[in-house]
Amino acid sequence: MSDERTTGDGISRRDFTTRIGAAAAGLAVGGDLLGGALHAAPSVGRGILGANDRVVVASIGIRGQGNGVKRGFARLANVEVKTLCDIDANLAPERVNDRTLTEIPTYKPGFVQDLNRVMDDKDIDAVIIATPNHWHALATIKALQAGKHVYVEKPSSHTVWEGRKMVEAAARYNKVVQVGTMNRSRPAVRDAIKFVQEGGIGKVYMARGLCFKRRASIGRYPDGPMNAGETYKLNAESGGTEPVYDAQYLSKVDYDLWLGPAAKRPFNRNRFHYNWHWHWDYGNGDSGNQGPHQFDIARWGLNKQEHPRRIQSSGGYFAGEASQETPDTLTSLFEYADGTILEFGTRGGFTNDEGGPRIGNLFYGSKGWVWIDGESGAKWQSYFGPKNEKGPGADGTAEPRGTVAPAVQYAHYQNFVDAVRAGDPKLLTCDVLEGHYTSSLPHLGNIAYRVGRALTFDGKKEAFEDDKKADELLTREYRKGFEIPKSFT
Amino acid sequence: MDRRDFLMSTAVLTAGAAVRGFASPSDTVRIAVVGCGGRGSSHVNAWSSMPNVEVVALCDVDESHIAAKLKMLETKGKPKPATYVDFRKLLEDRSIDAVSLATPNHWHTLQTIWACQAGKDVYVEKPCSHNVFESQQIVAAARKYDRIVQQGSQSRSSPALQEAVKRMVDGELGEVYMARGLCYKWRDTIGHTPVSAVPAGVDYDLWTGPAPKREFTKNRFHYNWHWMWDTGNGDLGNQGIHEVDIARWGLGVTHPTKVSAIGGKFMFDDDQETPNTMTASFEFDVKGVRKMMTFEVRHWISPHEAGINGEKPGNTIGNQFYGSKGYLVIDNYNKYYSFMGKDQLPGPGATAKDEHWANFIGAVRSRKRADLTAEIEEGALSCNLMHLANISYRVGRTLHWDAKTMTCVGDADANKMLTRAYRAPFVVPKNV
Repeated sequence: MSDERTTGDGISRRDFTTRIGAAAAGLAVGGDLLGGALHAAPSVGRGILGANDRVVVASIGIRGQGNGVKRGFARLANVEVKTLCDIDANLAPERVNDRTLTEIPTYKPGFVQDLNRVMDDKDIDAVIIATPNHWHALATIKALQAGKHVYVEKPSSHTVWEGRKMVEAAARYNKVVQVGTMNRSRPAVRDAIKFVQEGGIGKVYMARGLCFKRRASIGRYPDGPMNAGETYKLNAESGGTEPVYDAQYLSKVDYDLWLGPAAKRPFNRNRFHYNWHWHWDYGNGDSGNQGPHQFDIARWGLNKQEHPRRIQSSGGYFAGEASQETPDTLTSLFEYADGTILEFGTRGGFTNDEGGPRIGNLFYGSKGWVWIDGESGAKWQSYFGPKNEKGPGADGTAEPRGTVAPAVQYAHYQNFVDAVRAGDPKLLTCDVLEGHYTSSLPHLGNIAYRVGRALTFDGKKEAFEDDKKADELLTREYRKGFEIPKSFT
Repeated sequence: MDRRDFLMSTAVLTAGAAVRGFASPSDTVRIAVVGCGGRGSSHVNAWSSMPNVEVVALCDVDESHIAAKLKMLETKGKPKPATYVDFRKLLEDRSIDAVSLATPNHWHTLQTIWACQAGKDVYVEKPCSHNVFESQQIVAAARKYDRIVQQGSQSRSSPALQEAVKRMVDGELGEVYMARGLCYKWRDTIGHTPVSAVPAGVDYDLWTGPAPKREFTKNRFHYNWHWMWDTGNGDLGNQGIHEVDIARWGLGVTHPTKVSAIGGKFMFDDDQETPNTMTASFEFDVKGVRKMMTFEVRHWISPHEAGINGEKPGNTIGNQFYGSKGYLVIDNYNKYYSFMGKDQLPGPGATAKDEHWANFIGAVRSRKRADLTAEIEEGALSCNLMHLANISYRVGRTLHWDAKTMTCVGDADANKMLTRAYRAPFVVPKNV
C-alpha cells in the first residue's frame, strides 16, 4: 500500500498521519468517526464533513499545473495534502519536499505512482486532478466511484461524450466536482461578468475569446528513450532544457499508465510532459489548453447554459516542421439558438492585440464594449458610445498584494473546499455541468476544424445533425482497462 | 430602343473600330460619369481635376444628381457635359472614350459589359460584380472587346501598400500564412420606410434595372440599397470589399478552397436584409500550402485592432498579415506598419496616397492592361470571396469551392445564389 512509501524526510506515511492527527487536535479523527455512521450508500469514502473538519486531499498529476495547484491547496487553512500521485516518480523528491511549502506544518505528503492507490485510501476526501486532458474524465469518475470529491483541471474532459459522463457520475455519486476555470472565483472577473450580465453595456450580441499565446515549433523526435548526452527543449524558443528522458529516467515512469485510455504507443519525448497538449490522443490544442478559461468567461458573460447550435472553424498549423497535430492558429465561430455569437481566436504566431488583452475576452453590446484580462484575472474595462468613453472597470490595484490570506489568493480552491465541507455542489462557482458546457466549446471547435465544415449541433442529444464523421469525434476509443462506464447504476 | 436594336448598334460601333488611339499624353481622354450620387461626386471631381481629361457626359436616373454635378463642374470652370438618364443612349456617343461607373452594385457588371461592347474603357466602382456569375462575365467582356477595365479599389495604387505587398512577396515577414480584414464601421438603424411615390425626376424602372421590380421605398433607394440583397452586398461588399481585396493581394491567393461565414443582424428591427455583423473565414491552397483569411464586419461599438486609427475613436478599417517573422498592419487605404519578431520591434512602414485615377488614365493611353493596378480580373477574384462569404452566411454552411467548375461542391442552394434572375431587358449575357 502506498502509505508505506517513505516521504522525502524518511518518515513513513502511517507515522506521519498519526503525528499530524495529534497535532490537529483530533479534528480529522472526528470526521472519520462520524463519517462511517452518517454516510449513506453508495459513497465509500469519509462521510459528510463539518464546517471545521480538515479536508484531506490528494494531488494527481504534480508536474507543472498540478504542482501549482497542490501548493495552493496546501496553504489553505485546515486542508491537508496527504498524497502526491504521478506516473513520473522522478518528480517525487522535489514535490514532496517542496521548498516553497516548508512553513506549512501539515504539508508532509506521501507519494504514489498509481492513482488507483489514491482511490483506495479512505482518508482522502477529495482529489485534485491535473493530469493530461485524456485522463481527466476517467480519473474523475474513478474518484467519484471511490466516494471522493474532485477538483479537476480544465478542460474538464477530453471529449464531449466523456464530459457528459462526468456530469452523470457526479449526480449519481452525489459528490462535489469543481472545474479549474478559476476566473469564476476571481472577484474582478466576477464583477465584470455581473456588469455585463446586468446590461452594463446594453444588449450583448457577441463575445470574443482570445488565446494569443506564442507557441514555437516543438520539432519532431524519434520514438524511444533519449540517448545520454542528448538535450531536449519543449520548443524552439524555450529558454531551458527538459530532463533527459533516457532509459534510467524512464525506469521510474509508468508510461503505460500515462497513456491510459489512449492507444498504446512507444514512448516519445514530444508525447509526454507538456507537449502532449499538441497531440489529439491526449490534448486539445491551445483552444483546449489556455483556451477553456476564455471560453468559460465568454459563455458565462453571455449567460448561456446550453450548447451552441452552429459551429465553424478555420485554421491550420504554421509554426514549422513538428510532430504537432493540433492547429496553432484557429478561428472558431459559435452561434447559439437565439443568434448570439461567440468568436474564439487562437494564435500561436506573432500577432497584434485587439484593443485589450491578448489572453482575455471582449463583449460587444448595444451601448458599449468590455475587455477582461484573463492573465491577471484582476483587470477589466468598459467603454461606451461613439467616443469610446471609459466606464466602470478595474485596473488591478484593488487586488491584494504581497502576503495575503490564501483563501483570497486561492479563491477557487477555497470555494471548492467550502463546497466539500458543506457537501453542497450548488456552492461551487464552476461545477461539473458548467465545466462540461465550457469544455465542449473547444471540443466542438476542434471537431469543426478536423472535419473541415460547418456543423449543426443538437445540444439536447449532444450529437451533430446528419454528420456521422463529426459524431465519431465526440468520443474516442478507450483502451481496454481504461474504459469510461456508459452508465452509472 | 429594344435590346436587339441596342446590341446591333453596338456591333456596328465595334465593327467600325470606334476605338481611338491615344498617341500622346496631351490627347484628351473623354470620360462619362455614370451614377452621380455620393461616390459619383468623387468621380466627377477626380476626373475634372486631371490634366487632359474631360468629363464630357453625366448619366443618372435621378435628375437632381445630375443638376448637382453640373453645378460642380460649372464652379470649377469646366465645359458643360452632355447629360443622360439612360446609359444606353450615352453609349451611342462615339466620342466618349471611357465610362466611370458609380451606380449601385447590381448595375456594375451589366453596364461594364455594355460599355465594353460599345468599345469604351471602364472604371467601375467596387464591387465590380453583384454575384459570382457576373464576375466571370465582366472579365470575359473585358477580354473579348480588349478594353481597359479598372475596379475602383484604390489602395492597389498606393505606393505604400505596393511596398508592403512587395516586402511580403520578398519574404521579409517570413512565410505569410494568414491575413485579416476589418470593417468595423458605425451603421445606425435605417428604420422602416413605407411604400411611397417615386420622387419626381427619378426613373425608378431604370434604377431597378436587372433587379426584380418592387414598389418604391426610400430605404430601397439611394445609399440604403447597400443593405438589400437585390441591389447591394451588405457592408462586406461595400466598405469591406476594399479590405477583402487588400487581404487577397497581400496573401497572394486567388480562389479559395473553403469559405465559412457566421453573423447576424443585431440590435435593430428595420428594413435591412444584410447582416450587420459577420465573420468570414477563407482557406486557400497555394501549391499545397494552406493560407487563411479571416474577415470581420461589425456595425457598432468595437475596439480598434493593431493600432489602426490610433487613439481616435470610431471606425476600424484595415488589414493584418501574419508571417513567421512578424506581422504587418494596413491602416485604412494608404498606410502600413509592421512589427518584427518575438519582441515585436517596429519594422518597415510607409504612408503614401494612391494615384488610382491617374493609373486608369495612364492605361487608357498606353492601351496596356498590365499597367492597371486593379485590372478587372483582380477585382472580380476579390469580389468572389465577398460573394461566397455572403452565400455561406445565407445558407449557413461551409462552402467547398471548386475553381475549375466555379461551383460549390454538393451545394445546390449555394450554387443557385451564384447568379440571379435578370429582369429583361437588363440581362447579363451568358455569352458576352
